[in-house]
Amino acid sequence: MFLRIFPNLINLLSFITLATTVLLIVRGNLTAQVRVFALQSGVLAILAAVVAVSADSMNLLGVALVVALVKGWIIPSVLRRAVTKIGLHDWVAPYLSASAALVVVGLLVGIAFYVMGPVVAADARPTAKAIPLALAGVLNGFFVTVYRRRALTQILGFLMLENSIFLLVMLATYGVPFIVEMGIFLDVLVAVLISEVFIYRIKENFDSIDVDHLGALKG
Amino acid sequence: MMINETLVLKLLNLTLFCFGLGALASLALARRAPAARWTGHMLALLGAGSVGTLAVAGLAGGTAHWTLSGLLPFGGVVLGIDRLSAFFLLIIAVGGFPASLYALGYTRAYESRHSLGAMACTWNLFLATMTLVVLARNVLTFLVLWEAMSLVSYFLVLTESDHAETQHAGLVYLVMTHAGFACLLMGFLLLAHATGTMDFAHWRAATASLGASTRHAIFILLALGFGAKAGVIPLHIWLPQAHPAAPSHVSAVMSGVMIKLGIYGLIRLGFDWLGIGPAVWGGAILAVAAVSAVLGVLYALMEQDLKRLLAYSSVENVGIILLGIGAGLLFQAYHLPGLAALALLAGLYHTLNHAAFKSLLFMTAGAVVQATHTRHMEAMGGLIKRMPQTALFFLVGSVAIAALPPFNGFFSEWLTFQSLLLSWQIPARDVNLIFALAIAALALTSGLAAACFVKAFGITFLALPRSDQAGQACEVSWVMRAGMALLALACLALGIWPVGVLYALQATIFEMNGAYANLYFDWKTVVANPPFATVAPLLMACALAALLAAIPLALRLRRGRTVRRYYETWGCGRALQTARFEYTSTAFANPFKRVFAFLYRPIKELDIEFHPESRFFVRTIAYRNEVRSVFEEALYQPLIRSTQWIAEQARRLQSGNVQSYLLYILIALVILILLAR
Repeated sequence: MFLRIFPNLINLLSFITLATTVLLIVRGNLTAQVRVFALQSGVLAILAAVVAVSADSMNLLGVALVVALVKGWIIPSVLRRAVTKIGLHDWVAPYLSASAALVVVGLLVGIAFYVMGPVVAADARPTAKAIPLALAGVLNGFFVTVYRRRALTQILGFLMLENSIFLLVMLATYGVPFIVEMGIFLDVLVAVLISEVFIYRIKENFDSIDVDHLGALKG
Repeated sequence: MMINETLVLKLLNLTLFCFGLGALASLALARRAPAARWTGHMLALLGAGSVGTLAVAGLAGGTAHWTLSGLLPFGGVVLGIDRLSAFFLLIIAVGGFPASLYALGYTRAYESRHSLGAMACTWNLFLATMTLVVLARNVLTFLVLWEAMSLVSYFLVLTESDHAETQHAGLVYLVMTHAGFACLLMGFLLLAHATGTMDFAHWRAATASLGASTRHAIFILLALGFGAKAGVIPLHIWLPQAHPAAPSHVSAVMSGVMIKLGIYGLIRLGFDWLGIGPAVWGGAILAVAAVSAVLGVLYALMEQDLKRLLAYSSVENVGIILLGIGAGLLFQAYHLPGLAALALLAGLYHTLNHAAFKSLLFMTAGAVVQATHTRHMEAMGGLIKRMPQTALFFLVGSVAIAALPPFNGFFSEWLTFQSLLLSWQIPARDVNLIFALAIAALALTSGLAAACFVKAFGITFLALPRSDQAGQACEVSWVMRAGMALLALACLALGIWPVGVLYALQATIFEMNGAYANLYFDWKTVVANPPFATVAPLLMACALAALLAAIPLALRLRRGRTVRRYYETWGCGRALQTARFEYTSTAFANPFKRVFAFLYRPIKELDIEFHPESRFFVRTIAYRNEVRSVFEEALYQPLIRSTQWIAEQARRLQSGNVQSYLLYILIALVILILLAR
């Protein structure tokens, strides 16, 4: 029973992950964006747990717990604190309109499926079908960092990119060794803490977190 | 005499220990400037002395091999010593030891203005990296040390970086030295790739089987790289800027020693690494050498800045050295090993001599500049009365560089002449013609060099002071004079008793080429290609000394019939005698400027403003007469302009916007994964 629904479950969860990335592109409110990220991390934790059950691996279960803890709770609360501290909810227009951005997203998803086609065909794993979704998540996360102007949203894009890489690792190899996973989580956490400090500095210097102002620093 | 390998290693360790301790101690004592100055330069002095001992051990036949495999990839750090390395160590010691002594006194003037700790530290590192460069035995060791040497010397040039002129000089030096480094890197990688080994020792055997075009490419790239360091025309432009800008002990060693490492590289390249090459290599080197020698001295003659004059004269002397080396390559290509060895010997001897007299001249120039606070010769004059000993040392250096006996410049230029004259043994007309032109160039160079240093000495030291500063100059401290005295003695010793160095050079060249130079010598005479030409330096010196002694003797004998009268110099009937009436440096150089006008392309401007009432009364006259630098205008300006244009275009990519950089990455990523499919 479980084995039969397992690939479908994985596909569904991967799809939700990608959909949350797209949601980040559409939503403008910073608090909502953080909530979207927390949601995505939660979905990832469930996915890791499902893979853990199917692969019968205690390590992966531990990873799922850490994902829920670090990405689902600690990082979102750090970012939420940043949002309240900045106290800034003004709307900064992104470089493209939402519809144009969605066209690009569609293009990137297409590219992901095109590139990963041979990989999917060659891989016999039940999770292989979802691999293009993970790559699409990576590309879209990256696209968010390009497309958004506010530093905080860019950090969220980066985090989603990281989440998608984690998803890719899950789907393609059922997770890397626990110690490596821990190292990555710590790196991400530290990166977020540092970026938080940077956001304050940008805000202090330019009275805004619109990264366009950084162009003024050019020599 | 057998030299124990452990002794050589101990000497090397001692050297590195002295320089390393000197660098660290001067940094540690940086807060107390006098302590840093004394400790740093004393340890550099000890280190340079130790380099000298190491050189003597190496020239006596000591060998050593020293490997530290973990420090660098591709074979680790490999050092070794043979006679050629030891000879260049001797040059480092000849330049470095007196310069360190001189620096003890000279850098005192920098105490309040600059960090003595940093200066003494970089000075130690400079001497250490030069020592290690000649000992390097594989590609990566050599390149790392070569780059370290260039960077350290760049920092030394920038000592007085508060002047805009110094900053510009530093920039030009950095660009030229890195362009040279890029050529070296490509050449070395090509050589290592073609032979399959990074180890210098295996190259000679491995390059013999390479294709002609590969060998040409390697030769051109490496010769450009080493030529840029040696300062041959047209790669010389950094030299007249960087040498005057640096503190004088640094200029002395940069000009006397560091540029010689370019010569070292060329000798290794032409005689060792690539084995016997085609005649065209030697011909090219000979042509570049002749051009460098003549143009170098012609530009030197036009300079009013004492240190720039010396820097241009270094270009000339590198040309003379390369005349010997190029001739050696040509003789080798025509299978005349004895003559090849003779020409190479002449070049190497001049390398050592130039290290001695050019260091001496830069140090004396530094003393003069420190005393008068200007480098402009038109503001000097009359210094022979205020600084008699410095004047004597400058005179010794001038006589040596003008190739007059009994000093050392004469002997090595004589050797170079003989080796060039012997080119009739080559059975090829076109090559003989090149040699004839080289002989003419060398003869012209010697004459012009004499004129140049008559001007340098006469304008700087003779007549009346041309400025108040020159009138109030004082003799410099005894440590500085001691450093200069050492080198003046070396100039004399190398000139009248060349036998010791000749022995060492014969052994050096035999070790590298397997042939002795066609040269017979004993304690008093030297015969080139016996019985072609003979010279007896010691007897000549005695005769000259006897002649000089004869003048006061004859006067004393005539004393009864002469009347001694003290009076002013005859002033051509003028009532007033001021410095304004003196012959100037510009005036001295003007005949040459007219004769060589096709080369200098002087700009002449004469603006006369007449009185409105009558044209017989003049209000102001403005006169400008400058020499243009043909190379900078014709060769470097277009290069600089095109580089700037490309940079302007590339700048459009650099928007300063984070998103656009991220976009570049995203696009690159998408293209790459699409290509990977």
